[in-house]
Amino acid sequence: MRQVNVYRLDVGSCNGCDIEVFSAFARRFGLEELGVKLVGDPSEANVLIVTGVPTVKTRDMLREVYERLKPPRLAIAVGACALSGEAFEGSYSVDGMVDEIIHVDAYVPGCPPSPHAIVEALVDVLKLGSKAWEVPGGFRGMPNIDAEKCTGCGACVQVCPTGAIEMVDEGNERKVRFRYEKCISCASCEEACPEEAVELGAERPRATGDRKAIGAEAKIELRRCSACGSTFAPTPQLERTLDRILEKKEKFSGYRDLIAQTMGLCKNCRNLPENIRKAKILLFKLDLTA
Amino acid sequence: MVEPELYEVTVSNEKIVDVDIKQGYTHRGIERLLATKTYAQGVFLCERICGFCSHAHTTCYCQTVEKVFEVEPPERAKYIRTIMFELERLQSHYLWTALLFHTLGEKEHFIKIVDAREEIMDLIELMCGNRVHYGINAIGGVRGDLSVEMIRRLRHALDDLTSLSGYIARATRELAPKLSGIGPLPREKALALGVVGPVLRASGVESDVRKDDPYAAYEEVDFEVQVEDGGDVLSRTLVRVKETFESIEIIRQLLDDFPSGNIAAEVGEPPKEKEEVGRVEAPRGELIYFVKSNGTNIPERVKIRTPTYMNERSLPEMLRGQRLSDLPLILESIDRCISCTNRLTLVDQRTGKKHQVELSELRRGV
Repeated sequence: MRQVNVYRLDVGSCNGCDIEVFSAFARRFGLEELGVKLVGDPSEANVLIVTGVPTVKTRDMLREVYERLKPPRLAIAVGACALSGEAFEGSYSVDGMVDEIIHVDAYVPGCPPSPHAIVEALVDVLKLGSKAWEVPGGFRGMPNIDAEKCTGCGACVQVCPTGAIEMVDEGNERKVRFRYEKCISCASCEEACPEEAVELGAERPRATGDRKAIGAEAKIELRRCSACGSTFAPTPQLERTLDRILEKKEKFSGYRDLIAQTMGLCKNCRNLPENIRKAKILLFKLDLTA
Repeated sequence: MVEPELYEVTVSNEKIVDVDIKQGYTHRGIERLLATKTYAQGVFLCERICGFCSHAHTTCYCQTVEKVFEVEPPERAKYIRTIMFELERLQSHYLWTALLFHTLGEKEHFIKIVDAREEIMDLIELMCGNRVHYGINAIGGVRGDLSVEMIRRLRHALDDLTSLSGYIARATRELAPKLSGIGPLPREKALALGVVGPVLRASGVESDVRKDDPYAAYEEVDFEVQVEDGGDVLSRTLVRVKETFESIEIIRQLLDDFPSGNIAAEVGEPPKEKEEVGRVEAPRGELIYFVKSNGTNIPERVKIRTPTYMNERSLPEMLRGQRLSDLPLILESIDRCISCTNRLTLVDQRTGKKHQVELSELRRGV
């Protein structure tokens, strides 16, 4: 059995990942039996575990430590900060991503990843077989999105504390993308979603070789303006809004088509004098029924 | 914040003459970031200041923001917060004792504690869905309830933890001669330097925010503030070991009269211009938050003072005149929340020559 020495380097973490890397070497995870050991000197190590986001002061240190490793050098980035800078991306004291400074062989997502995931990644990268553990109930994994239920309203984008959710409009489609590399599994999106389309997975996230590839995505159709033909809002969101209006004000049901027509206009067309006039007449009629 | 650091130690004949601490390696600009996120998003950011005291940070932030918003969380939420707070103190103190034994070269004790600590971590994972960042605090209350089954498991685990604490107490007694008299910090110096938490209590000062300015459910429980007079590494160890017994007792009492009801209160509109200060007793000592509002859903300013920042200043005082080989032990004794201070620069006083070494080399007696 060959000896694997691991050196852990914190380049700007909260210690959360460091605690978990440390815990991964508890006896229950059996790393020692596989010949994997944590060492205190990078020149004795052949595997580097990096935690945290590189700061102005640690950037050069990371490169130096990587160069001191014994070949073949293997580097594993552990935790959302080391993958993508998490919530700290864009801070004045953060300077680049780990994989812009050194070559990274595997990424372990999570905030922090549990020791189970770290052990799985180590065993996998070192080709020492495989390990798996049961996941306790209530475990907060990565969010899944139900494209059938999602209306593309963007409530999740607003509440996400780390900016892990992206919303891009392209042609006829709105893409809602959950980037697992930045996700901290806080469940804010799950709580905020009015359609219950987001649900956290119960699985431990697994290590990956491409941090950008991991995620979940929903594509939502965009409505074209009935007057000018430009896209302006997701179709399911408009439909849900209309349904909600009619649910709350049953008396309006006779005006369904008229309301739908008004809602089918984009922001610019809605503000044309003739359309404002039409909308005002509609509002007046609705006022009368209520 | 707490961070990897570089210590520049001036040495003469294996004795430490002076220490210069270089900080800022993990400075991530969190206070600035907090003024760009909503109050609710800020909770998760505060949590990520520190992996050891994540719950202390969110509790302090939430309580201070609640003062700004004038919201009172329900009783049950306060109890859950307090239970998690003490579980966090337990896991933090246990890991600290494990690291202390590691520094002393007591591998058997180290392995035993690290393995036994996993039981709390499993329990926390079951209760919160994550082992380190609990994500259970929210402004106005908590986000998760404790089921009857969880309370049963928690009670069961507390019995095991009592025996773990007993084991650590016995091991500490055995090793007392190695710890006694090292890294002294007399009472007057401790007060003058403004140290906090277990370091202050080990220098004979009875000070604990949980007692002095009770928050959450601490007013409802009966516990003693642990104080030792030695002011050395042994006293700091004893204070923490005794505190683990107190924490277990606090959780038992809270579970005994666990109130029913809601776990979160409704939060209103952010007030125009209001500022508040809040404090809690984190595992490492007094943690202070300042929050100022400006009428929007984003705070105008958040200022944080962490305990290690205060305790770190006492290091030059503790280290001067001590043997170089005791350095790792003394650094460990203030429970710095630092993960990679694994190197330091040695300065030879006569030649002025500097060279960097790893802490582990010192342990081996280089």
